[in-house]
Amino acid sequence: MVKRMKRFKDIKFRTKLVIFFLLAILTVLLASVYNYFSLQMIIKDTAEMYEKTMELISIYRLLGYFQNEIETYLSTNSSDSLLAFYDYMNEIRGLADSLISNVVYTPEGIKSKNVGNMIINYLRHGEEAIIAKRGRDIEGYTSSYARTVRENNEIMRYIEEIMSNELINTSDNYAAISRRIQFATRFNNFLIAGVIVFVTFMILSFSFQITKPITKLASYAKKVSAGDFDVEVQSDSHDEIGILYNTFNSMVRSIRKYIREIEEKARLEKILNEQRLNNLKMKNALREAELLALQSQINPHFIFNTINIGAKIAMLEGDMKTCTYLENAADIIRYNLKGLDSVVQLREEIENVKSYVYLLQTRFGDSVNFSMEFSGNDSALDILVPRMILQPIVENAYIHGISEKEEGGTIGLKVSSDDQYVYVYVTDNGKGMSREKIEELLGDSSEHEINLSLSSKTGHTTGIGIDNVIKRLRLYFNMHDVMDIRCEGGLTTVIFKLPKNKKTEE
Amino acid sequence: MKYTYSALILVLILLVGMLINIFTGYDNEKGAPVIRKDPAYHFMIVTRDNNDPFWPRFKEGASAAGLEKNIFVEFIDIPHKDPALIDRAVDRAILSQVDGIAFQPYDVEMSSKAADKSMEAGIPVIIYENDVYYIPDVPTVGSNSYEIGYTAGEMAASVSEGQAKIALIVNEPGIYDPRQYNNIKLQGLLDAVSQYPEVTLERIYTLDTKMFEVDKLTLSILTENPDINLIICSDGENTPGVAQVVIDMGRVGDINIIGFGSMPKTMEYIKEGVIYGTIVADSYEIGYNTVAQLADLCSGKKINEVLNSGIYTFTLENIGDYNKIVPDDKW
Repeated sequence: MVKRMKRFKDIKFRTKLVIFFLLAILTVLLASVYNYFSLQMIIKDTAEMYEKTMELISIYRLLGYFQNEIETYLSTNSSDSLLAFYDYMNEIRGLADSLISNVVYTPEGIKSKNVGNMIINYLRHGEEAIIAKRGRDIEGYTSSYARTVRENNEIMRYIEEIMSNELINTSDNYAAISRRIQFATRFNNFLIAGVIVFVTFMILSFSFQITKPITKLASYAKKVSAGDFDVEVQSDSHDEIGILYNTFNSMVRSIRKYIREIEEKARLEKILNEQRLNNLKMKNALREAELLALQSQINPHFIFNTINIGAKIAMLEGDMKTCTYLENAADIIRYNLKGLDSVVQLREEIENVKSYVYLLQTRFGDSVNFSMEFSGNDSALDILVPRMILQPIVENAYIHGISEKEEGGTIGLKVSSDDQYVYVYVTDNGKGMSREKIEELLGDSSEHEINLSLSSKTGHTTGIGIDNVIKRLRLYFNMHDVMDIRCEGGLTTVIFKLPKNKKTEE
Repeated sequence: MKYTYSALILVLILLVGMLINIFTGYDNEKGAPVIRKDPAYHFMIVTRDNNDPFWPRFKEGASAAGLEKNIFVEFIDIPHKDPALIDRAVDRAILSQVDGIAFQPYDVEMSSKAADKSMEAGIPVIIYENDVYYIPDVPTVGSNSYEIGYTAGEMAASVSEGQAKIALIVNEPGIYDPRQYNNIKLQGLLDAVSQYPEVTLERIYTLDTKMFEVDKLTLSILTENPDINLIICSDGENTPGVAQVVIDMGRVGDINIIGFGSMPKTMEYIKEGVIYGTIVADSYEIGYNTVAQLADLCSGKKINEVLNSGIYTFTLENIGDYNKIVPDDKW
């Protein structure tokens, strides 16, 4: 029961205000009603007294006239008196009947009936006197007359008594009601003054009660706007202010939560960006390092000049074979010296391969066979490619393929093209390449590439491995699928897929 | 804040109470309950307008009987024990064509005449608490005079421990003075004291009820008869007067008083030990029986010519019972 009863401070402000104003209005209204009814009572009482008194006074006067007419008739036999007698008698009888029929059975009310009955008796005796007079019954009318005089006096006295009592009672009532009205008026004035003071006080109190929490809330809102999300407004009431406080607290908590989420997200994004930047820097550094490394591996001009002079000496000596050999070697070195960052026509690459194969064949004799095939449009050889992409592959075919076979082998170079690509096939029938190795070479793991590129330099002319070639091709053409390696039927084929139109890096 | 609302609600309750008071408290016709519908009969009873508790209680009994039997009972209060006032009240009742009249007679001649007039007009009449005289053919309701006299004698013997010289004060009955009722009362007293040889009734004094002569009478009793040590006053209204003279003469303790009725002063003197005891009529029963007998008479029933009601005696020993017997203190 107690739990179900709403606590007073949990009642809404609106309800409190409505109840208060209703009570205040009702108080003033009841005070006014009290005053009104008090006045009505005295008015009613006074009016009743006057009505009753007027009625009795009317009867009182008529009884006097009636008695006079009896006396006049008895003394004069006047027909006018007789007519007046009957007129009065009828009028008085009507009033007496009214008194009797409207009797109220109260100690005062019954007196009206008594008067009515007394009048009826009196009228009868009066009429008896008149009849006796007309019948010339002297004794009869004198005794009846004496009786009417006595009864008339008695009735008059009784009416006077009633009126006197009525006046006394009414005066008593009037005094009582007057006292009550005076009290009511004083009470009312006091009450109205009290209610005015009270209502004023209550309005101020309500204003204070409403504005104080709002001001408090505003100060908290300021704190929140200044970035202090740890404020918590305390309120144990469940009225509108309580609801406002709770909602404000919820809002602050939500804002605090969102701000923290945003901060966390920003922090994570910052970390991510930093990581990306680091990655990018690392990648660039790596590329730079790779290039520098690659460039540092290329033989210097000294070697080229030396070989070139050797070739000239051989030619002067007439050893053309040695001359040709050294010229080819010098060509290779010269080709290398131009730097890996420059681009050349595919044709030049092929020429470089031919020079290299000549050196191999001169060195290893018949154990190294070379075949070359070209199909398609000659313009395919004009496409631009990074320097030193074919020679390292051919060299690789020799070192890891043919050289490890006693009987030697054949290295084939084939160029074909379609609308979009130029395909260059470097084939050897050496010992072949495992699937894992192929996948490793064609994979795009930078870590693998780095390792491979570093580990596969030993014994190479330029130190450039397949992985480096692939990497440079991918960077140059800006596409991934630039090379394929197939090992089937004893043949290992490295296929270059070179776009005729180089894609620009986005 | 809730105290504010509580205060407002209290003020509202107060105002509602005041409003209810206006409507319920305001009544011109205050007094005993009355018949509000058409009554079977309208009786007029001549009563007294003084501070004797006999009368409120009597009216209460009469009104109760009226309510019970649907009879409107009108009380005509007269200020004195004046037979002429009774006669006039009866005349007015006859002219008013009431259905029944009752009065307490204060003399022989006029009271008898009033009863006759009423009967001549065909209006039944009853007399009540008549300790004066007997009116033939007029039924009476009231205390038993013999019982009153006998009880007074017993009380006299009791207070004087069997040794008393008694002066008896009775009301003046009127011209014809049959003294029948006083004789009955006297007979009762004599019968009671006859059992005690040393208790004697020295003299009987009569009191003109119209005059305030109890002081003079008591003074003369005490001065002319120094042997008298006990006064019995059979009139309720004059009992305190007798006691006052005894006090004034400094004879409290020497003179024992046995009174009648329950006037507040009488009860007070009993508590103070000035008056030994009093004999009180059951006025409620008298009032009730008066209306009941009159109603029976109007309806043509035969009724007893005399209907006696009980009496109470109060002394210092049982004065506390007065309010138990009469809780509303309206005697």
